[in-house]
Order: sequence, then C-alpha cells, then structure tokens
Amino acid sequence: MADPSSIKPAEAGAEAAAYLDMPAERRALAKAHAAMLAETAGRVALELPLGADVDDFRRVLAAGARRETNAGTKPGATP
Amino acid sequence: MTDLVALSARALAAAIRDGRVSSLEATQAAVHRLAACHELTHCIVSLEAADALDAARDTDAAIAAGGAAGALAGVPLAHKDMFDRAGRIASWGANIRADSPAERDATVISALKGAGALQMATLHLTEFAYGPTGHNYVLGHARNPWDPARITGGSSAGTAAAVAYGAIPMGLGSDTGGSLRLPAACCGVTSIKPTWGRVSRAGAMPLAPALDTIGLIARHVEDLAVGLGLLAGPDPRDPAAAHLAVPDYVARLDDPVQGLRVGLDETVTSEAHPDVQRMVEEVLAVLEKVGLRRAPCAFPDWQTIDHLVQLVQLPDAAAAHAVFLRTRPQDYGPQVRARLEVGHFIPAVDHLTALRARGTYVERTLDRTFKDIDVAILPVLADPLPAIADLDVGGGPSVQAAMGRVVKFTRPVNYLGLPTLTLPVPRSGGLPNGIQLVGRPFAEAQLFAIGQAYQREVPPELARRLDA
Repeated sequence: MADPSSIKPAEAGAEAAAYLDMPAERRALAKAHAAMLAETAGRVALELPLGADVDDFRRVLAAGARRETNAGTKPGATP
Repeated sequence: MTDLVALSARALAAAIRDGRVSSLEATQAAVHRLAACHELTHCIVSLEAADALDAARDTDAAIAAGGAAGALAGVPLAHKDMFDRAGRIASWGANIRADSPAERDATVISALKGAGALQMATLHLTEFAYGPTGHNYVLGHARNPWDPARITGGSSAGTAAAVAYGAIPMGLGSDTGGSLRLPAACCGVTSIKPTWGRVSRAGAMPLAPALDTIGLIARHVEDLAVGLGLLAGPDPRDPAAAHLAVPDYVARLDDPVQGLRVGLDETVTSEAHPDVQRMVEEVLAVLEKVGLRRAPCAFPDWQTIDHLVQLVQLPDAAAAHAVFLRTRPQDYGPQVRARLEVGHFIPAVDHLTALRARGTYVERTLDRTFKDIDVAILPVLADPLPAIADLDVGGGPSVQAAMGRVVKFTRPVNYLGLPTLTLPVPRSGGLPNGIQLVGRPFAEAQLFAIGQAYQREVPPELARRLDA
C-alpha cells in the first residue's frame, strides 16, 4: 500500500480535490459534469420521503423476489 | 470429434463424462483455438496452457477411476483477469496491481473449480474494468472476432471475444455499467447479469461495489443456466450476497413461455439509432413467434436514472481508487484516470441522495413498468457496432459524452439492480449486435426459459469457421 506520509493533506479552503494533478481544462469539465448531475440530485431529493434509506434498495429487491417466487413463469402472471 | 469448440459447456461436460472425448483432447483443442483467437483479437492476458493440460490429465484419470462427477468436470474455461486465485496476482487490466498474491480463490472461481472446470487463461478487460468499449490504454485494445476493426465492447472484452470465436464455451465477467452486456452484444453472444446480490463478489476486483455484479458470458443460454446455478447463493465473505433460495435453473430451461408479456418502452428505445430500433423489432418478432405477447411499458424517466447511477458510480469508483490517484496517477491510462477524477467532484449529499432514492425507483419500476409485463426489452448498444478508431477518445474532452452514449441503455439497469439477459440479434450476414431482456428481481430462471426458446429459432453462431 501507499506510504501515508506521501499523501498531502488538503489545506483549509483549498479547491475540491486539490490533491489531484489535473489540468485546468479537465478539472473544469469534471466540475461541469458534477454540476449537471447535481441538478438531478436536487430535483430527486425534493420528492424523497424523509425516511428514504440506502437499505431500501435491498429490501425492495428481496420483496420483488418473493413476488417472483409466487408468480414463477406462469404465463401472464401478475404479482 | 472435430467440433469440440462449438459445443456448449454442458454438452462438452457430458461428452467428457461419457468418455466420448477426453478432457485432454478438449483442452488441447481449446488452447489451440484460444491462441488463434488471441492473434486476431488480443483476448489473452495470461495463457496457462501447461497447468490446464496437467489438470486435464488429472481429470481424465479421475473419470477413469470413477471419481470426477462435477457438472463441468474437465471443461476448459478462461475468465476476465480480475478474480483472485490463490498464489497469483490478477492484472486487473492495469499497471497497478495487488502487492502480493491472493491467499485464496474468489468465491466464483472456487465454485467453478468445485464443479471440475479447468482454467487455461486469464482474459482481456478494460483497465480496472472501467470502460464499455474494450479500449485499454495499458494492455492494448481488444478487437472484435467478427471484424477486428470493430470494438469488442467492454469491460469483459476478452471473455466475449473468446466465447464468440469458439475458444471457450463460457467465462466469467463483471458488470457495473454494462460490462457483461456490451461485449456480449458486440460479439454476438449471450450473457447474464444477475440480480445485484445474487452472486458473491468476494475476491473480485471492486470497481463500484454498490453496482458491481458478477456474471457469465456464453454462446448457449443453457450454459448461463448451468453456470449461474453454480455461482448463485449466499456467501459469508460477501454480506451483500442474497440468502434467497437458488432455483434449479437448468430444470427450468424448458418452462413454458407462451403468453409471457414482453414490454417495449418506445420512448426510451426511440433514442437508439434507427438500425438498432429495427434490430429490436426483429427480436420482438422472434419472441412473438415463440409465444410471447408484446405490450407497451414505460420506465421511470431514463435520463434521471442515468444521472442517479452516475451519482452512485462515480464517487464509489473514485473512493476505491483514491489512494492510487493520489500516489500513482501516472500509472493510469488516460481514459480511466479522467473518469475516476470526476467522482471527486460529486458532493456526498448528492451521492447519498442517489443511494437513498434507489429503493423508491426500483419500487416504482416494479409497480408501474412491470405492472402488466413479465420482462422488458431494451437495446444494448445505442448504435450499430462501432469501429475501434471511432471511440478512441482517450481521456479527452469528449470522453464522458462518448462513453455515455455507449452505456445509454445499460448503465441505468445497474441502478435498478434487475437481472438482465443479453441475446444476439438475428445477424442475417451483418455485424453482430444484441438486445437485453430485463426481468423482475431474482427472475433469472424466467429469462433463461425465454432465451432458450429464442435460441431454438436463432441458434448460436461462431465468429470464425472452425478451420479458420
């Protein structure tokens, strides 16, 4: 693994990911892409219930599996 | 037998078991064929012929003694070079590798070994499995066995090329944004991206763990069923591996498919090239011929899901590589480095929003998109099979847009975590391409039954003649 002393700590007020050796153009493109995605994140956040949780994903998949088990491949089966 | 390499893994295993061919003969033929494939496609990372031939002799001896009963006993395979094997260091398709050999096999490698399968090589992948085209600026680019000027798709490029060429009947790959489906489609073969959590990731190189899915590429759907039956199930080494019962996929290959409904979201599909839309229609015609009924469906807003999956993937991958990006940035190829850097600019709040919304979006998809259908059909590639030169963008300013177009129909499905079977389109003499059938969670058996019925009408093909 890398020697921890070789990793520079971020300075207070430093630009995001200042530790990355990126040319200015690539940094600008990366920021623009993140900003575009942030617009979607902001919109989606408004519609999420407060209780939405990262574990919901696995719970919903497992619940879907139970429906599949019940439905099998029976033609036209509706859960 | 002169057509060993055209057999399915299941048929080859039966032939070896019944004494119609030896594992040694099969492995010699496969090694020869794989070497020829490599000449054309650059598919091999490491050829391990001597070890494989020794293992084949051992298998033949065990069979002669009545002691080798695994489902794939003596069958030579090869896999994407990203899985731990005891005593070895996987290349990850990169300059940066693990410091020391793996102490034990990845769970999926153990499962295949346990079934008696042999491994004769490790195969090409995009650097760190982070790229959808088969370009690799460290190893060199992979080339398509149907047309070496065309992309293989990635990141499981070598596996798909070797399967299509007839060097192996199936092999392992992984899929974080399309890395099983894209190479399968580009090379005209099949793949299964199982439901997220169906197969253990223990010992597999992580890319974006919230999305990473281990699966298989094969020419025959029946081999996907055999293989997934071996790989699926809980694993103490991977807490995300689901504890749900594993169906007998092989026994269910012949489940009736008549009356099953296949949904087409015309709004989403309309964003594909007109030729690709025609391919989807051709596949739908075959599916209707075998008894499925076509129905409309509507996914949640596709671009929103595509943004959400990036909000998960970009920081997830960046975090996995944070230490190397800080200490060894010069050891990355330009494309992977540029893509990994972007993840550092995603705020944690946006990343968590995407993760918190995931259950809601899957629920919405199941309740609405799948309300009146059993499976959904989508393109895999947005365009006809691209040339390597056309997508050779390195880490330049067009990389996000170019790669985004390639994964347009695959990456969002990783956010939903749903199982997906890739099938080749009827080729009619043209270049290969593929479609994906998306199923409900853990409904892989149903996908296999549909795929099996489809392959009775559209049989698997080899990219090159056996005398090539």
